[in-house]
Amino acid sequence: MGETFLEWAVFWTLAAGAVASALMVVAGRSPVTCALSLACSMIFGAGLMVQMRAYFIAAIQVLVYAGAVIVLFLFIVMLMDLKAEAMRRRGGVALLAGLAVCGPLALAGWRAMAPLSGGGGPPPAPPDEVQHIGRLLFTDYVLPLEITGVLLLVAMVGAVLLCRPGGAGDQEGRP
Amino acid sequence: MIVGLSCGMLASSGCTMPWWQIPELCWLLLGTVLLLGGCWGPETLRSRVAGVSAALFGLMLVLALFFWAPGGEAFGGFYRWDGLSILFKRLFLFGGFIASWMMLRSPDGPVAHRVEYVALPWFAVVAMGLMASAGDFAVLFVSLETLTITSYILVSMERDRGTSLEAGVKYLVMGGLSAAFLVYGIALLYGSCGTLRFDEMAGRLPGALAGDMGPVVRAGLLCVMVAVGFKVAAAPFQWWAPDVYQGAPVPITGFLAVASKAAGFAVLLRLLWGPFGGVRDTLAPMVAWLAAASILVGNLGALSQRNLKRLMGYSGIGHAGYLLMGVAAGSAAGVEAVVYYLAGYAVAALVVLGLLGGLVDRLGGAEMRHLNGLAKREPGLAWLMLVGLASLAGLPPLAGFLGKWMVFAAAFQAGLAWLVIVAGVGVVASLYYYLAPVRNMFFESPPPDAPPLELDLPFRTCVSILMGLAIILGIAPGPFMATIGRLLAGL
Repeated sequence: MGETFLEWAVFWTLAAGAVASALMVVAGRSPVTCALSLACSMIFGAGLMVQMRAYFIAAIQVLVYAGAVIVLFLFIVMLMDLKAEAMRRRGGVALLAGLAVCGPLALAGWRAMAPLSGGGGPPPAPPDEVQHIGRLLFTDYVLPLEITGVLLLVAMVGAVLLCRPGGAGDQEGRP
Repeated sequence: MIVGLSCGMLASSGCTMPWWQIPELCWLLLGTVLLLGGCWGPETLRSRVAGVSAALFGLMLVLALFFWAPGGEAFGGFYRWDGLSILFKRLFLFGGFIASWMMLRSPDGPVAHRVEYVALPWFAVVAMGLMASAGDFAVLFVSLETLTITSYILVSMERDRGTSLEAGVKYLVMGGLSAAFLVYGIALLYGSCGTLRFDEMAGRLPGALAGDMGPVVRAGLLCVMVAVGFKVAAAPFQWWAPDVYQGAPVPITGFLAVASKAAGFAVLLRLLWGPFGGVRDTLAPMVAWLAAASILVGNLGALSQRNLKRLMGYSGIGHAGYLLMGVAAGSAAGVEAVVYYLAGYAVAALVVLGLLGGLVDRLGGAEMRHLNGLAKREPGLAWLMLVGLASLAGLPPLAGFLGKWMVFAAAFQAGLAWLVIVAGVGVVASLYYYLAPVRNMFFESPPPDAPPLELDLPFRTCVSILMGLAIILGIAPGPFMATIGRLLAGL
């Protein structure tokens, strides 16, 4: 199937939205704005996935990231009441540094991608997409999946360790 | 224990290993048992958890040294059990062993009693082992993330201390950036080759680079190399290293300096002699430039440092540069030199950091002036420190000298004479800053009210053994080099 104008317009709207809200994440003053922009960026990204016919990934992105993780962020941000952070001004140096890193990257990305013809469109999604992913995860990709489990365990231990009240000087319950 | 023994011994034969024979599984189990046992176990275990951990690391190291033989893979090629991974796994276990031995001494205050402090290095070693054995980019990415997350926790464990927390946050931000580069690079490579498997990519990458996906492949390779550059702290991706080395508890600094750096090089070698094998000639100049930049930034940056931990951070960047020279050489001799250099660096850096870890609370700090008159207070320790620093500086007959010699020779044979000249500048500069603490130790007088330095026997033994290794590796490298050559034969 060829690329229609509608597909083109949808793609660029979603892409521009994703980039703009990602910029808001770093440029926003209030942490609440930043967290909400991050959620927006995720949702735009999910839209792009839908366009690629990766429906399952898109749904997961909305459910897990925009739905659960970002809402958790928002809770924490609102509970912590980060006024000092909201007042902080971002210097021009930070902007320049950001441009210096992102500019060449964007240019390199453009030069790499632009010559490629977009023809063909995405491959059709398999009818049993979820089963397909699930089967791959628990057969071929079982080792990375299990390592991810270790990763989450370590992260949980670390979160408990670093957030437990009492600090490092607290010896309660420790030999 | 039984599982541990069987895993270590059985993981030696056959072409496809059953999944339960991979040693990481046993290490993971031991780490979990230590973690749970240290929290809820009997009092006798809880008070000795660091000792138990060190003993288990020692046992695993012995098994790894005497019972492992290469050959085979598991999980359908996702896990590779070859000579390269075995060599590096031994190095990781060695780093974990020495780090947990240093924790026995618990010089860093109450934090050292925390069971997580003792158990988390096990998880880090598991992650490193998987990185060294990765046969697929998915395995590489998740195990690298496991390692970095474990490292963040270990670095910022003393969260009451500002520098520790600062180190943790800086490491977190830099690690996040590097992970972003890695995953983007992997995505680009997947897009152009259609596979994440190392063996399949090795076949498809040269064709993809030559075709009209060429620029995409180039961008992908660049991103992955940047991420590896972060991991090994090569300039210009080195900013985090001095702060992290300074802020972390000393045993963790040693662990990061030795094992984490080795893990980065394991990945680099695995990639360049695996999926990127066909395009190694394209990447070699980039590695050479990274090497030159790291040598200059590390060694010149170290010149003005007055804190020993920070100095080790900068000099670690310089050593990453020397190691990259061996990689840039692109020859079998270069790879062998890299492995030898890593072992020599590990031994010498652990002598210096181990002594520092044992003494830091008695000396009052890790600044150079705190070492004043150490030779008069404790001549034996001062000489140990001298040997460690001399090996790092590359003075004969120590391991550091031979390592540098082999790396330089490999680079010279590969036609990188300019790089050898740059490295020569680095070595001359490093002599200055490695000998500065020696001046403090031997030619300054100790502070008048200096308390006696008590260092228990196990600790002295540990550091003395390390020093012995530095000398033996330098004088009689024959058996060691033979092992390296045998294990890397199929690379």
